[in-house]
Amino acid sequence: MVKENKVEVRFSSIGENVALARMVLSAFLMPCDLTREILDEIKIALSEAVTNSIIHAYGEDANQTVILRMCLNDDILTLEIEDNGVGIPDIKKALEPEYSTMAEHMGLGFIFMKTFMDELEVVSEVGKGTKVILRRQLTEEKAISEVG
Amino acid sequence: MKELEVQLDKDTLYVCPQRDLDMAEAKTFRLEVDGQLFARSNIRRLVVDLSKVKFIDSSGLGALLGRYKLLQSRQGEMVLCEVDSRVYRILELSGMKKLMIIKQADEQKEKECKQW
Repeated sequence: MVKENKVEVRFSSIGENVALARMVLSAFLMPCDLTREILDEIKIALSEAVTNSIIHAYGEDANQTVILRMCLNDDILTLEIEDNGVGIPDIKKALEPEYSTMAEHMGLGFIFMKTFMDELEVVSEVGKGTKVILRRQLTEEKAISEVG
Repeated sequence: MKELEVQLDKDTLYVCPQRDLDMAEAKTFRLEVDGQLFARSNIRRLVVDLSKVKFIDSSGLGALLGRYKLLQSRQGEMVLCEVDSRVYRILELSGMKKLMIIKQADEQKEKECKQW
């Protein structure tokens, strides 16, 4: 297994790039040989963070940029999703279950990020942007799922 | 890229999204289904064929839930069929399983989905 690796990707804030971000993540994690379930969970967490940047931070303005940083250090995966959008005025409130500023969005975004990752950190400044940091340990769980 | 497939049969609308249900595909799905529902007030059943969907996130779940509410408001029902086990897990986790009729990919004795 790869011990250390870093990749940074910048992409336009368009809906189609949510799938692109997931594909890049899958490729990045390929050497880790994860189960489909674990890979799916990490992909959902990333999908939620990127969607938030495109919809909430940038209001679907296609001319903006989302930055995805992926880092693998031993068995810890760290994902950083950064935007220069509107920022979150009240992070605590945004992290509450079913908090949503838009109809049709179930307010599940941060819930899924919290559920599927070990750590969720949100750094945000109104008018400057938001950085979401997601962490998950890969190997221990892989061992558990293999036994199970 | 192929957009989603839609077929109408009496009071039933069959829809088949062509790729994973994230924010991009959820939007296509929402616009198409809502267009059909508003144009035809006699539609009482919405059957969503998820055979090509291997991934769903909260945008996809929101789009399904939104259509479910529209069907409910006209005393209709919504059926999800050909549901992949990975997608099924997320539907279960989000509590949507309790709301809709869900047929997994391996329980197709009662063939519900339209042949495209």
